[in-house]
Amino acid sequence: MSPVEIERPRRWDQPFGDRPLSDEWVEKALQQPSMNCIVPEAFPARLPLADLMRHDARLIEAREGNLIVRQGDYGDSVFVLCTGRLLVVVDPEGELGYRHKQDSRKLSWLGAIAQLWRNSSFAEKRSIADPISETGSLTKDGGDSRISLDDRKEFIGRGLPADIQAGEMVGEIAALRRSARTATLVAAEDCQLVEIRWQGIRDLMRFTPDLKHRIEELFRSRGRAHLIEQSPIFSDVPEKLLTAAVKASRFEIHGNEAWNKGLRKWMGDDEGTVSAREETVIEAGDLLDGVRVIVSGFAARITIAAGPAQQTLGYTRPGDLFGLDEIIDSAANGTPALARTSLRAIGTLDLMVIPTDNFLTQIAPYLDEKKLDEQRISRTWSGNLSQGMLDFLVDQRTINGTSAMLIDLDRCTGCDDCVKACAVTHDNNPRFLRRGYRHAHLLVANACMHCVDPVCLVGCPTGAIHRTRTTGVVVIDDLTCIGCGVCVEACPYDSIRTVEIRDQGGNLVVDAKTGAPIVKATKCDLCLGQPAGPACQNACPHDALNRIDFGNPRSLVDWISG
Amino acid sequence: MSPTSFRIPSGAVISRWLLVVVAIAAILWQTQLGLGDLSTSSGWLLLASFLFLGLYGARKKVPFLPLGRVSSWLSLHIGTGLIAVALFFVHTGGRWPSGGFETTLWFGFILLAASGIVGWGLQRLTPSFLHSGDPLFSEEQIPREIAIILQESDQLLTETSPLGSSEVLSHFYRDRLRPWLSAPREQWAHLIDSGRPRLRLASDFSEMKRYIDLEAREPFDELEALASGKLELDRQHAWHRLSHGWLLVHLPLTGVLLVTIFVHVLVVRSHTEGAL
Repeated sequence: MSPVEIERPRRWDQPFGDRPLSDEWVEKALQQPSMNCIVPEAFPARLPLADLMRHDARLIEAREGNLIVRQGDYGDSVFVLCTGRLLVVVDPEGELGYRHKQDSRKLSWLGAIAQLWRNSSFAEKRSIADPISETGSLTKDGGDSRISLDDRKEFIGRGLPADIQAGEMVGEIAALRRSARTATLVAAEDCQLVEIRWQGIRDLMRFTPDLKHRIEELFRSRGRAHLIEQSPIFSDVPEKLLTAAVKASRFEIHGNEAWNKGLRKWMGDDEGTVSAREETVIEAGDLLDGVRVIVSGFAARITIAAGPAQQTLGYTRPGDLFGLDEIIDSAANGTPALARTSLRAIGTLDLMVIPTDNFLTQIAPYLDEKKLDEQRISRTWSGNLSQGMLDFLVDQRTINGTSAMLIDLDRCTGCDDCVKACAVTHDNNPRFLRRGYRHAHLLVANACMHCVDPVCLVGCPTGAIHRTRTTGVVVIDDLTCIGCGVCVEACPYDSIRTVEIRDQGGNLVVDAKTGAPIVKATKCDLCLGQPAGPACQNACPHDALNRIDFGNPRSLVDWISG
Repeated sequence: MSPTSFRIPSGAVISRWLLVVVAIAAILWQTQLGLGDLSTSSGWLLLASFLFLGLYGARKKVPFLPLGRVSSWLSLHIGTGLIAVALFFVHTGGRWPSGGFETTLWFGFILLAASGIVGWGLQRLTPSFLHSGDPLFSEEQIPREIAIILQESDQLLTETSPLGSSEVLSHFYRDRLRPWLSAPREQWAHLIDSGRPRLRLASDFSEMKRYIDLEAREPFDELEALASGKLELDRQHAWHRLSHGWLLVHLPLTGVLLVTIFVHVLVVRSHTEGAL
């Protein structure tokens, strides 16, 4: 078979919209008050501002009542409202009914069974002709699929006091923190918005420090309100009191955004080195001036001093409270509130500090003890998990995973049915290796963990690696992946690989200029679209492989003990 | 070995299986009370359980269908298999077989059941031994890894290399070490956890050390490290073979028995209908 030559894919081969943004709209967007600090001269010749806006932004024309983003959906774009007005609604319980999650399109049973004979007989077959991208246009046929909420009149008028006015920017929380949307946005009237994907915003911020500063300020001011209000723990607190407490609170950012860089190099070092990489937010014994609410960031380690080392007791997740028991006990006993444990930031950690007085008067009386207990229990580590195992999982940052592939080597017979199942659901190309990082009988396989903080997304020049809108599963769009390997480098878990691709006829695809093979990034997609979810987990005959969400460590304890 | 490799079924699971056993016993007892033919009813139940046992293999082929985890199917497979053994003894009345065909069927079933029970035991015993080393390799990876070790060793022993210039060592490599490196060896010794292969290797290298110049010490240590790696591959290979080898009996026998049972049913049916 002779190689097929193509032009090496480049960053802007696929614009964000179904067509590049027009010059008129590029100009309009840059004139908006939220964007007018950007100057074209600040951008290098290889990355002209106009080209960046043309390819990394798209125009959205929404009618009154159209849903712009849905709370809980994943997205990493920022919206610049050029005309009209947007309503912002935070609905933690999903009572308004617009938060329902839609499953991605799944294969039918027949379609799934057909994989058995339709799968390719050669490795890494790709379509190199189809120009339609799953991530590029609003819908696959280029149309606008926005849902209209015209029939939900009760929704209109429930916006936050600060609705979004023309000229403002919105969507920065999900974009900066690679998290789910924290509020729903609805067009209060006919609107025109320019949506800029993360790749564009990242470069705009890089070359315009003023814009970076503005966006971070927006994040601080809006983030605390949105993120607190969507936390189920506060759902019983009256809105007025919660708003007052939020106003009195202060927002803190700790840790290191580039926590993944060099992680593997120093992972083999001793505990002291691992701890040194974490920022101590609160030291045990410090006087607490308020309750800390973990707003975002994949985890913070809770420790106590044990001789020369820090003993890990557990870790936090967004929505968790730190210092609650100390503050309540100190109020009851009239003693100073001293932290019983230390809090250390792993990666970036956003905190809200609700001052003690505000917390005790405005929030504590309304907290549901049951919900607090659930949180305490879910963070308790017991059963067959040793201290060493907990240290290992936190040190290795495995706790970032929402679907980490763990293999119990005391049950695994090495039959490789998991790998075979992965192959059969991925056109005969297994998407993980049954090897990885090991502690005692537990193996953390080199399979995508679909992290809470997917740092692999940060540097992608095209947005090919992204989270699916409704499920948050991290996937790679083959058509927009240019094989640059930035995600491979960024993943601290060695879970992404690049592979040489072949065309439909099995011919190796090579660069027409250099003759070098064209590569694409590949990894586990959690069998998205398959009727039964992760095939690896289903296929294990000995229950030796499980996908674990570290947001619920009890599931690991139960599985190991089961 | 960690005790977690042995898992005791929960009370709920055991009680569900007890219910199935009681139900089957009730069917057979009812047949006997009604003066029915016990061997016929037990035969049909045996056939049904045999077909159900075969479904496990089919389930494994379609891991993408929402039909429950394969681990649950394996539990069903084991439970049904044990019931099938009991049904088999009811069906045959505990008598020795007579005639060639019946003997084939009888011994085929016993062998199949025995291989299944042995396999069940092995799959619970072997994981801790299989995974006691590091790094881990799948059975398919081991030949490739062995080839890599052989290639790297050959490179250390080229004529121009410091090691290759030692005649004694070249002889040792060509006559002893290289043949040992080229394929999995001493499988039984690894299965009984004998220290002999490691001791022999250490002794061989210790004997050769005196013939090594100071400048060749580093590549010599590299060669010893490669040989140690090969030893670990041999160990894992042996446990892989033991862990999965029983399937070489279990799976073909299933196919043979399926055909034999089909013929048996046809023959019995034709005789019964003829008699009627």
